[in-house]
Amino acid sequence: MTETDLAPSDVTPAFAPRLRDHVTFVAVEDEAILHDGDQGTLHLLDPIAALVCRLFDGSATLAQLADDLAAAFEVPRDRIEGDVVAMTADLGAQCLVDGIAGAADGVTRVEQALVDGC
Amino acid sequence: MTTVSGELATTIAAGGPIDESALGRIEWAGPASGWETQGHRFACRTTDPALDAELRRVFRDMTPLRDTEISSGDTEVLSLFAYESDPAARWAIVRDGQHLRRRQSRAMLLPTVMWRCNQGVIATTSESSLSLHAGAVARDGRAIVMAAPQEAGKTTLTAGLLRRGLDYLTDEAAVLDRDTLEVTAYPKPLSIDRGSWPLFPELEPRGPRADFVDDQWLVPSGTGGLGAAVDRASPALVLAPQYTPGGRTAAHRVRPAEMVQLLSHSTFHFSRHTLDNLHALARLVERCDYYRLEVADLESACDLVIELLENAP
Repeated sequence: MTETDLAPSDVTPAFAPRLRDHVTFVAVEDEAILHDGDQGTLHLLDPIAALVCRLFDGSATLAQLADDLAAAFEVPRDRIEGDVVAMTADLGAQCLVDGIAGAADGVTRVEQALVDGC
Repeated sequence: MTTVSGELATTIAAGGPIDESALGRIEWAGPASGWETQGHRFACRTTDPALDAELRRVFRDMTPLRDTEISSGDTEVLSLFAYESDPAARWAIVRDGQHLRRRQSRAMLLPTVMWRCNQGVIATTSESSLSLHAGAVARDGRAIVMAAPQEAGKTTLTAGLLRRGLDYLTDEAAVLDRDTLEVTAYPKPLSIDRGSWPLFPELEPRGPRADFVDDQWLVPSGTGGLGAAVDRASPALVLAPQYTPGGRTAAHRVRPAEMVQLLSHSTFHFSRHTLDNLHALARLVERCDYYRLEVADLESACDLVIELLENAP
């Protein structure tokens, strides 16, 4: 994180998101899991979130993503843009998106070691 | 049966270091017996002929080691012997000259060996494979993987399915190749807890074997009509079972990402190879049918699991 990172509430349609370097996208059927390598946490994405997140490349803005999604799914563009901005801000708040300042409070810790599970 | 006395017994009682040459002077019941499973090698020698026979019986599904392999240094050798001490707790287990256990009852010897074997297999397999805390059985080469924490009823469900004629892979650690997802057997004896004994009266160890029972029966596959062990199978069905007495046996669909999350919690040493394990779990879920399974009673659960397997891709 840097001083220039946006607060989650300041994310706008002009923002071009990409996942942080320590975050890995793992597709699971039509859903996905984001693994935060720094925090050792897993974040589950439903099919819509997985689709949006798959499009994060650091160059396409949220407005452009909303254009594509609205055309593909024939849903009102304004509504989808609002959802995409909110979702991105939410992921950013969890330290998963480059350029958005977050407070790391992982969803699912999987650091347990099952060494005595027998 | 020899009881160790004198200086060695005093050393053991005091918890002091044990000279390997002193162990060599013990009159053992026979040569050490050793086994290999999932890349883990272990061997046992004991002063107790009945224990020696029971060890050979319960580990019969594993690959026996030759004498040269036992002495090669890659094999964990456990020495189990009685020494002069409290008569109720006069057994020691020594590993590589170090006390593993002392002041043990005779009934705790087999469970301790089993525990060490599990530890060794988990340590070995979790490095090179996707190693799940799970029972696994198979039919016609198609595996059912049942992943759950302790006390969820994995072994009971595994034993129930073996009684229906399915093949045995493991009741403790399902080992999957991270690339092919093939399940290879860890054919340990089933560890059947006291609470499940009434469900399997035909498996009760009798005669001298009963002396080696503490809170679990150790039952090798093929015993009492149980299905036999097979080497490998391809996964077709993945379940997260939970014993829910008083409820209703039912299979519940879960979201794919949620199933991966559930399985991550059942993966031994998940965080040592997080991404490799995650990708393997994701592909496992994509390939198989998967459910969260509520188990109200054994027979209805076996009926349902077999039906799910028949309908799995």
